[in-house]
Amino acid sequence: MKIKLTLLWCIAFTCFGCSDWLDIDSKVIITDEDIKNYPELAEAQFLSNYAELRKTVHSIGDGAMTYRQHHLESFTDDGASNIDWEAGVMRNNSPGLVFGGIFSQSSGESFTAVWNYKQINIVNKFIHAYSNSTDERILHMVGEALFIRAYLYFEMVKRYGGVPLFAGPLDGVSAINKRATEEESWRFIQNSVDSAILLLPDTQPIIAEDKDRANKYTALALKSRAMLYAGTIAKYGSVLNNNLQGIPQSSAKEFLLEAAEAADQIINHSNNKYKLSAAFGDLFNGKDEDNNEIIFRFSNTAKSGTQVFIDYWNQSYRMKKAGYTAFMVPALDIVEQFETLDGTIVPLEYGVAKNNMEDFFTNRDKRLAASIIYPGGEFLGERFSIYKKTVVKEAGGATKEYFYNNQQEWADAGKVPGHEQYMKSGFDGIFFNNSGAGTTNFGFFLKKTLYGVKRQEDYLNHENDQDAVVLRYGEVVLNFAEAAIELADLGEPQYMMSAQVEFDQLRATHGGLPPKTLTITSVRHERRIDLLYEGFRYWDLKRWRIGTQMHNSTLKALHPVLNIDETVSPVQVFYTLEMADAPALATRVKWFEERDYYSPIPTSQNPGITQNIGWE
Amino acid sequence: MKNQIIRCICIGSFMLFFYGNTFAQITLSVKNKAIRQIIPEIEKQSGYNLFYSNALSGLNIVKDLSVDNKSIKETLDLLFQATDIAYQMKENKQILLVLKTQNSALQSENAQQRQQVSGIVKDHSNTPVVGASVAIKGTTAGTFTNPKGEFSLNIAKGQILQISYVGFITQEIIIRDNRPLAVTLVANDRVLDDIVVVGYSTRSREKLISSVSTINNAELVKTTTPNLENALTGRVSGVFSRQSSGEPGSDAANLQIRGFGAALVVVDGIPGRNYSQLDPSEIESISVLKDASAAAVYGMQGANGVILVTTKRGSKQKKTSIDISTRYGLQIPHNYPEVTNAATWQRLVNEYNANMKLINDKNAIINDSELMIRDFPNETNWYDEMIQNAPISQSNINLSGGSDKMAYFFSVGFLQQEGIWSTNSTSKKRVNLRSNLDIDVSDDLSLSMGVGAFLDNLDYPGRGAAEIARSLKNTAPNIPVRWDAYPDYYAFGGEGTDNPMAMADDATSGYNRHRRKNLNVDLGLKYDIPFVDGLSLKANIGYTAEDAWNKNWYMNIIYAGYRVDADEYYQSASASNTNKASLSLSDGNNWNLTGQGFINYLNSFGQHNLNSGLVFEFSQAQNKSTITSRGEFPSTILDMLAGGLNNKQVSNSEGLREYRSASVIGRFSYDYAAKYFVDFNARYDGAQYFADKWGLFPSAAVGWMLTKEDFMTSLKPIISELKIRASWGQLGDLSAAKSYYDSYEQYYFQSGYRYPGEIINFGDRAIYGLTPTVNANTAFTWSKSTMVNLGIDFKLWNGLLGGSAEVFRRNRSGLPAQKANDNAGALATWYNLNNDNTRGFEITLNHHNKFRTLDYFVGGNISWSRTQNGHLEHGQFTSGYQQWKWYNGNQWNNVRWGLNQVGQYQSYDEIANAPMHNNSNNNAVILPGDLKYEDWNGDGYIDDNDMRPIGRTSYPELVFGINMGAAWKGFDINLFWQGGALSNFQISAFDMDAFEEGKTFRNAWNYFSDRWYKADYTDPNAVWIPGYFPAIRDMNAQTINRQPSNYWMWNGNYIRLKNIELGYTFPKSIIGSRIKQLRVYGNLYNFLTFSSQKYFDPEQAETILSFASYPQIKSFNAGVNLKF
Repeated sequence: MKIKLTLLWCIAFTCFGCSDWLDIDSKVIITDEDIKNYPELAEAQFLSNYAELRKTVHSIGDGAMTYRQHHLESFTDDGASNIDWEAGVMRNNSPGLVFGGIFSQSSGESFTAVWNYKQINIVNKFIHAYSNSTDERILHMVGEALFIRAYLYFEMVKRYGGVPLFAGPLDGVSAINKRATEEESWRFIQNSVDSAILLLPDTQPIIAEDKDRANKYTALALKSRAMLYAGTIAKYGSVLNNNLQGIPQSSAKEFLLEAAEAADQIINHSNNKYKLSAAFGDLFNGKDEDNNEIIFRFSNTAKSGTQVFIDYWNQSYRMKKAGYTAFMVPALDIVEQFETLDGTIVPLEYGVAKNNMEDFFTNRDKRLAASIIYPGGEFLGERFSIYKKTVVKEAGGATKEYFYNNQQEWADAGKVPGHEQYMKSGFDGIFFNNSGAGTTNFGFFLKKTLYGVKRQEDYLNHENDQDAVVLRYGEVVLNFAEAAIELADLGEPQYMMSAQVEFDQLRATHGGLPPKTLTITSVRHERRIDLLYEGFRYWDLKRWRIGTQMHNSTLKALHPVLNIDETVSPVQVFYTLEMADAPALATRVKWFEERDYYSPIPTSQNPGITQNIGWE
Repeated sequence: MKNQIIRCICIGSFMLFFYGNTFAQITLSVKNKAIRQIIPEIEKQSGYNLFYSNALSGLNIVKDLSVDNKSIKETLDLLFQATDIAYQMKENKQILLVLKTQNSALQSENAQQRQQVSGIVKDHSNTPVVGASVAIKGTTAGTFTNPKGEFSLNIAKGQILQISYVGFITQEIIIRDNRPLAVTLVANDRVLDDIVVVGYSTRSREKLISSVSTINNAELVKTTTPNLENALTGRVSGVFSRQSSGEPGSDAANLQIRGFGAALVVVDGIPGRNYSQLDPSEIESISVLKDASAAAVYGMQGANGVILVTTKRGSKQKKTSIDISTRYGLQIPHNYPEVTNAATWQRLVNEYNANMKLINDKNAIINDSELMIRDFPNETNWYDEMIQNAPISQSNINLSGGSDKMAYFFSVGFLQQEGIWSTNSTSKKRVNLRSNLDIDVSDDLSLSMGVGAFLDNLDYPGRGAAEIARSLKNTAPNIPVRWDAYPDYYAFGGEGTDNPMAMADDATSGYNRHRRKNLNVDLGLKYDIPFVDGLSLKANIGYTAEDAWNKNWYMNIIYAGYRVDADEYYQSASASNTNKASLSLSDGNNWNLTGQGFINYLNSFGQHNLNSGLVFEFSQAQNKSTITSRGEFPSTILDMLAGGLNNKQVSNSEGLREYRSASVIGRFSYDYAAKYFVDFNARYDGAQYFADKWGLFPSAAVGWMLTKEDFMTSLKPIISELKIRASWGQLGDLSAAKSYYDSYEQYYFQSGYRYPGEIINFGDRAIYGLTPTVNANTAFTWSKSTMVNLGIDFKLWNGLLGGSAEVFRRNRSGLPAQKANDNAGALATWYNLNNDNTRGFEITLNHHNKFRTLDYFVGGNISWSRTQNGHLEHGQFTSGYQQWKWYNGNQWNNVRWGLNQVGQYQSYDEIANAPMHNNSNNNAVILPGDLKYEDWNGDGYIDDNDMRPIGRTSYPELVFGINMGAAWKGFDINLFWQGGALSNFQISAFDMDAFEEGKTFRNAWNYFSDRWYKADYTDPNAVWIPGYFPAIRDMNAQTINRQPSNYWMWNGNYIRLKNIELGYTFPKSIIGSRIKQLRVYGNLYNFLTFSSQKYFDPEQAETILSFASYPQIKSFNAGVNLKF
């Protein structure tokens, strides 16, 4: 009997007593209950929205900024892939695919796609829960949440046109497959950002975080950008796909007025909170991260391990001493767009002899040296030696050419016979080299956005911690100028006088350039130069509807030549320039078809959603 | 109980003479010894075990005994002459001693009430069986057959006659009348009378109706690889495996039962233990449970099948026997592909440069200056420099035995294996210990205890084998090991290529040490309840602990480089370089405690046999790990953490996972007269991974031994045994939920936030964010695995041919997935959505026979298994083709897609007319010899849309093994073949290119010698000479030849002679009486391979980058077994 009782007890314990025993809590998953008990977690919970925004926003220094380690400008006329096999892959992916939507069915959506309804839902829940609060601090946070929501939608709408709109929390399982029109979508962004502006303070209470969290002007800056996009899309685009793509032209003026007004609020009604920086390049290289030109940024510190990984991939071998060469390099085309200091746009001096390579570039817009490493240019104390070949005019009259055919000859450091102090081709290029270390195939390297505080001992360990600049005063000035001239074109010239003043001040402060009449052409040119490699060019090509002009074009390379003339005494050494086509393998053809004005919607998660035209 | 045994019948000694040479021969000469002392001598020589009660007074009689080459019966008859002792021969070489008076009294007891039945007993060759035991079942009455094989006996109608004889299967005959009987005994196959270990119980093979394969010690000890997983390969049906590397410590097999995924391992009843590092000599048997009715008792963990390992134990009342075995072998790399020699290499480099130029300009003339023409003062054969034959040795000593109340088994094993790198920096050492004790505390209570442990030390150089092997392939033949001018450093082989000697040399590259301690402790208590026949209680506690410590000292190698043009040497890193090494330490500490309580009931009521039980089990486990590391060591003098610069590359982390489970297991097994069988199992499982923690999983099996039916009697000479069986079962599969917990320490049913999330910076302030988890699904539950198995076991021609065949199918449902339309990922909840099914068959055949003194056997098995996806949750597809290609639902899961390669371009004319290639750069880069693909959709373009299924993955669908052997006068030979088929082998990216990543300072696989090339590569008009591979160039840039296609997908069929062993057992006449057995043997492992895979080992793992890896090894071994 005793045994039987024990058995029963055993069974009872095993079957019923164990359920609690089987509850093993995960240490790393915390609950809402935990958050209530730890105030720092409540703060972290809210601030995590910024981390998610950072991942979503197409901005310098973020993973979403890159495609196979390239700056996304590789897909525009501002830059080129420096690596043949990468370029080969990229050629098959039109920018519409890369910048959004599905580009590989096997791996799901492109990682530059944005379809972040999960985060939108989290933000909406917060707004929903606290928008009736009477606590001012909480209302500030609701304002921040509205700003974040506006920004998340902006990233989608600029890719896809009209998208599904949600202002409240989602519940249950249903497909998000009902798109609003493009105009409704931009209006939704406008409403969100306007609500944010009403709630946000002029300055965040902790001053050190003022550029990392949204204040009223952050929201205004975003508004000036978004409304400018909407206004120009309305003005230049056409309405397609039952209003899902494109905005009626009649709305252009309204959006542009909103853009100009938002910019004007920052420029003329912020008590000079923000101003232009004279040390332009230092805004992006980590030297001057608290400058008043910066309105909103994503901070990085090497200490906490947050870095800009794109830095490594776009450095030259000279800097890295290992690994692949730079993935994206500037082409000759953009370099020649930099004005000379007298304000003209002219080609480089071909057929002219100069003693130093850098002498060809010294008379140009200050922003050239801040943005691009050119032959003879300098970065972190290193001077770059970029030339294609050495031409020796021998005393006997014969002319001989020396250059490297491949990486091995470069690794062996072959010298010019009789002139052992010179390498046959420059240490940093140019020679045919499709994958390995060493070279630029176009004559230039990227400089803007690369870490410029100190030389890294080991690039693989990512000691760089330059911040990512997301919104800056220079862009607001350019938004203002563009909105003003486009409005003038529509018969609303009221912002022109103020815009011309600001436009000239930007040219003088950033570029050291003389004034120039504000026209649609001049403002677009200025945008291209000032915002180069900050992630704007592709969207500008789109909203101005000029992307297709780039289709099937190739970029030019610069081939500097080292000349050694033995026929004179003493022997003369000088440099000349040659213009060249993009390197032989025909892989750098730019792609932009009509359909690329809109990216494909990631349909796989949204059965039944209407796809954009050309992507069905 | 003892009385019952003693009441058995023995007969007189009249047939002594005729036993002749059927038994082991005994040669003995003793004088003046008590019978009690003589018996052990007889046991030792004969292999028989004698059982007796100490109360037998005759045992103390002192005798002289002298026999010469006599059988056991002759010997015993002499010994017991003129005593009161009689003996009875029992099964399994057991002999029972009883009082003669007891015997005859019983014999006469019931004689009158019965009818006289006579008969004759013969074997399959129609030879009379002499001395077979003929007993009446359920009674103690019986007799033996006479020299003519005849018997006669008084027996009542309806009683069952049991005829048994050593080496034959016991037969039962129901007596209906007194007609004479003709009985043909069926030879007992070597395995068939085995007791098979099944889940929480044992079963005689005859009564087994679920799908279980076993492998016993005799086969296990023939394994010459140090990893026991490889012992299962091909030896039992239904086990699929590949051994991808021969590297010490990394030689595990990718093993799957029926292609199901990772199986549960149970060692001595405790789930989740390591068996791969056990010494084969300490293992009694391994059972592989394949179908639901066998595996279902392991419930949620058994869904992929179960591997049951049972260690050896001693036997009571048995003298100590000592077993010593030792083996020594040499390992040689197998199928390691060759690299080019210097001359071929230079030629390929020049062709590369010429071809690259040719692509841009079809009329290009190549100047000498563009070619790499270099002197080769000293050509290095890296293979010769790097590879050596490496020794492997394995030894074991064990002793076992027992007294009346106790049995013991002790074993110590030692393994030492060296690596094949000539730098002697790779090695494995392992010590295995085991002690198993069984003690009878009282008549009803017994205690068992087991302690098993192993220590294993693995040593590697600072670079991994794959890295070294890649460097071994890549380092050019014109680089010496060291430059004469710079002898203190290894020579630099080029960027990313280094120098394999330097990488494998622990003096320059550092080291990687693994130290592991594993301990298993088991305690068991069994209580036979005295007042209920067949009812017993049992309790087990099993504790497992493993500590794995790893230290990786990674030294940055300093090389001496040489620049040809400048003719100067340089050192790759200066003495002042502060980054000389980095160090990483990790420690993993796991323990598991399992407790089990059993209520077992085992009894027979007439023909009704019952074997059932109830088990309660709980298990608790914890896995802890810490990792710490530091980098930037300014000096290599101190290889400890303190030596690394503080603020550089310091990292540390801690991991903790806890596991708990609880279960109730019910099993019920019934048979009627060993003819009709029914099994029911059910398991009620509790797991931490679900909100609703409990699940019930049932299984059932039925079996029918047809040959026990009367209507089959006439077929007996042909079909001696035929059993059909069927099983069905449902198991809970939590592997996906568990791996989710293992990876993220999170459950599908749990909502919240992950902390720490990612770092967010605000100015200089950094905080950890919170990452919201997926939305919880509290209804998420076990995936369900439903298995059906049909099997047939048979023996033909009295056991000359035996075997079994089975077919199975497993359907899995409720595999986790996220819904494709789940608010565009906004909620991202996991559901039980997907399903798949696996089906297959297995056939096993065995033939065993004797020709005079030649004893031989041939056996084989073949297994096929393939998995088909069912529903797969998926998004929307843009076209029917896309859906076909990317929606893998309702498709076989091992299908590979690619272009159909239909030939090679023969000329520029043909290239000019080719369809446009969209995936490569364009048609301008095509050269003669390049691959021609089928424009499958006929749109004039070759691109991804022309892809279709072209092959299978590398894991074979079909595997087979053939085992054959013979024994003759002390010699024995055993051959074991193993193979796989229905698989394809995808060449990895770097191996499609002559020069990895287009770097011509690297060496090339020699197979690229067979390529398209121009007779004179400097001449644009020279003719192309065809070869197998396309012309040498950088295919990285020109992807035309590298498209996924059947060209690079090679057939994976192979068969290899895994093992051949020749042994000789010395006769007693040489080794004398003190030694029980002495056997020497030689053995070749992996020595013969037939494969359609020309360049690599067929079991090699597919990798993305390069096949270069530590090669598979072959070895030859010699060993000695000695038994006292």
